[in-house]
Amino acid sequence: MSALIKNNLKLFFRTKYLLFSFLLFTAAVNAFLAKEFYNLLIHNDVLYYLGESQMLSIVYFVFFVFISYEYIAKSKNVNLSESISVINNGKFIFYISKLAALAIIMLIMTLNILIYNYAAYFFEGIKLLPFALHIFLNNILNIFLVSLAGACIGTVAALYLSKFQAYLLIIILTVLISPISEFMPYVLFMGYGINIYPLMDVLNILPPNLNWVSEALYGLSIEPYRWNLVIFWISLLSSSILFKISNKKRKIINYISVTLIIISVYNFYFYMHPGSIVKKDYNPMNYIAFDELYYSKNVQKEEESGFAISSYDMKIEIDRKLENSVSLLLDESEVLRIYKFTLYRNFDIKEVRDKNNNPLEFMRHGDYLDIYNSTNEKLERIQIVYSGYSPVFYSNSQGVLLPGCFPYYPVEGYKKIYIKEQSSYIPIIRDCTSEFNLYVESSIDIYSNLERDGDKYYGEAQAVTLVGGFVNEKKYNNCTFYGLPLERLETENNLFRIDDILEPYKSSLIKDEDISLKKIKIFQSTVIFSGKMADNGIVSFDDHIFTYDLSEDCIVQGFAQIYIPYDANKSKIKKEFFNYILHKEKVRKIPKAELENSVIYEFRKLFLEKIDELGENYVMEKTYVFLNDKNDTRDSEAFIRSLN
Amino acid sequence: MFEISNLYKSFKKNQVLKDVSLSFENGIYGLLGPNGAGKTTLIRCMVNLYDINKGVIKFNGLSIDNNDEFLSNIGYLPQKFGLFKELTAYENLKYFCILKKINKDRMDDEIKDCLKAVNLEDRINHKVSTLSGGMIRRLGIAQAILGKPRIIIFDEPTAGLDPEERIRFKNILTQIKKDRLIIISTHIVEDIEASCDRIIIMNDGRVLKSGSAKEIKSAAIGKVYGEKSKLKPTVEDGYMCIIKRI
Repeated sequence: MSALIKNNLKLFFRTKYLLFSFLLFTAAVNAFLAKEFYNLLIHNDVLYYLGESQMLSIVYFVFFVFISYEYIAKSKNVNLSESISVINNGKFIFYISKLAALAIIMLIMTLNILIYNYAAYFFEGIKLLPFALHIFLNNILNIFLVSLAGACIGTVAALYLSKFQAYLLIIILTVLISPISEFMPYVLFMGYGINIYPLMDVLNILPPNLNWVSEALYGLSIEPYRWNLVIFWISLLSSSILFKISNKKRKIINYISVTLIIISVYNFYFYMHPGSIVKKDYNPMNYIAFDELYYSKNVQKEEESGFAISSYDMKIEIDRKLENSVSLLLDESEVLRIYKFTLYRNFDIKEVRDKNNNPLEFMRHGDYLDIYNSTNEKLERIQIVYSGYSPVFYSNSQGVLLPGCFPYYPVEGYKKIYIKEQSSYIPIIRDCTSEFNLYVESSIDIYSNLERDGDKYYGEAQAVTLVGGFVNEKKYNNCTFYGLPLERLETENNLFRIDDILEPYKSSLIKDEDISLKKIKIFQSTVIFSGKMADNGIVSFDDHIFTYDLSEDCIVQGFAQIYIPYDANKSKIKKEFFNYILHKEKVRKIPKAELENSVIYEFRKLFLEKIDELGENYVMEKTYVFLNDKNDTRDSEAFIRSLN
Repeated sequence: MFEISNLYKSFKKNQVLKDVSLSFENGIYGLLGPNGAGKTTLIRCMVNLYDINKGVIKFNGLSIDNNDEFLSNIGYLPQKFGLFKELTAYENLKYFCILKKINKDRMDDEIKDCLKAVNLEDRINHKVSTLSGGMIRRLGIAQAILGKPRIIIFDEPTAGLDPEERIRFKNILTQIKKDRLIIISTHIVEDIEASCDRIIIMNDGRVLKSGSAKEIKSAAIGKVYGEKSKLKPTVEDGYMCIIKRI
């Protein structure tokens, strides 16, 4: 077989139009990769470089569809197939060796991109073995397997169709698979409410999200469902190739064909059940639209619970999605008929049981869960088993972003989750703490604000945050920082001098002087977290903080916010308050004309007018009291206008 | 050695072969018939390219279906034959050697022998694109005889060849016929009358006559030139009489 493959390669490179196409393709690919490598020297972002290189996926796909069609059809055109078919297994060996030759060319071309990517990896000094593996897997999935799928399409076209039909099919498929056709389902859905995304997605073997800023914690999308889809196509097309090239009387080949069909069905099933994925298209089930569409209606409520959760025992399993079996110890002042919880709506409740393991009736309505108590006693303990995922706050075998401010486990009462006007999530921060005991089963290393002992996480906290993926734990004196090595912060050294940075603000902003600041863990906010969570990804808990940067401003805001309860109605005044404290000179330097005429400065103008009128100290003190007062439900404008 | 019994083959409603029964031993057989007589279909059934509707084809007493011994003992030159233009004569034959699973150590000798048999040894390193149509057909014969198969089947081997190449083909036949069964399908009587031991005449999917050249000629005695004529009928005369059922 190897001699035949060698001869086939010889044949490929001696066929002028194939050789010319190959050389042109190689030159174009290398020119692109070299240009992007030059850009890498400026932006120093190795994940961005990986994303750019994976854009070549469509080029590889088109090239291998075309080249495999021409290469396979060539033997048909030179009238060889009849004499080869007569030889014992001749036709089978002939085509398999040709496909093997194409696979070798694909491997060489995949290696071509891999070399550039690993050069970038070493050049940037990334010492992160999982990312080295991520590069490899991306290239196998997006370049090699996509090319192989292309080659299978080209081969099927060559074996079954006439030249005209084949080229028509190739052109249609290329258009449907490429990003050019993305507008079609979008227009149909937005314009007419017709959802053809599921149909289009079956063809979508190319890497998604490449036009978006990459999520440094997660890397590029290589979720299992994408492997399932591409393997589904390859095995389905391969079985049709086998049926065509084999002698139908050969049982072994028939068995292989049937096995390939079974593999394709198996993969299709799992493709249809993708679990947690990060896909930033306009599909109403995905990242952008899933919550945006849902929360555009008035579906959110706020209601006190009448009980507190004093402890959580959770057994979490993270694979394709999150599965959780949670036992809640309740602190109830009286017997309740209904126990009200908030749990993100895309988590399906499998069962709810009481302390004696008897099933409890429950009702799910959106993000809310009502559990009914039919007895005259307090429930004391409730066990809930559920599974699901959020299209934004991911939890799968590739990455985990489950901040404690997002209700991925039940919290007391009804809470609002989303601000539709800002298209962002409200950080839910409980004003009490609970005892947490978690056992987390996951293929990736998970970091948390809790203490850790192997797969167990424990401690008392307001909430539990779980983060996994491309994240590093670093100690700066006694401060623990969970940073993103693929999005290194230049300001990281500020962590050595946290005390110095906070010192000037301790008297005004940081109430509790006994708090051990160094015990607080700091998590670097990801692009998704910063983009989707209110306050641009600076969220503070008693024991940990999320921040997108470690500049002095962010550190101060992060720590000061610990004492300020989150209230969406007060976000404008909070923003101005911190802006004024941290950038007073800048705020004051805004030209008067700009301040007068620009809509974006409307609130700032009002705020500065009050400072000028009533004095800086008075306004700032009153504002701080207002921000801290949970019972004051006025919004930012009502408050500032009421100052006198 | 090679036997066809009660063979039927149809394509949809078109019955192409009707109750064909033939028996072959070593020697050269000419399969003669006008265009559309069913010769190519019969040959494709014989080389296991087509599934048959009814009947049986046996090699050494065993059906040719899934018969590895048969498949490794057959050489075939189809009517439409081509080779990789980008490869040399040697490389093309090596390609077939690998497909036919000829031992690597024997490959070079085998290729040289076959090229010698078809008188192309001086073109061994020439690319196929530089060879004439006749030479490519001879190279086709060389690929058919690679591996020393016991049965060689040529479908219209002289189609499109000039007279000189046709003579060359006949010479090749005499060189390779020893201990082999060679079947030549053609509609040109001249190609086979001198070189074939037996001639099979087909028309409309049926075998009309099978016999030696002399027996075929005898079918025309008294029917072409009259019984008292001194002119002796040729194979072509016999063939025409059989076809036209005179």
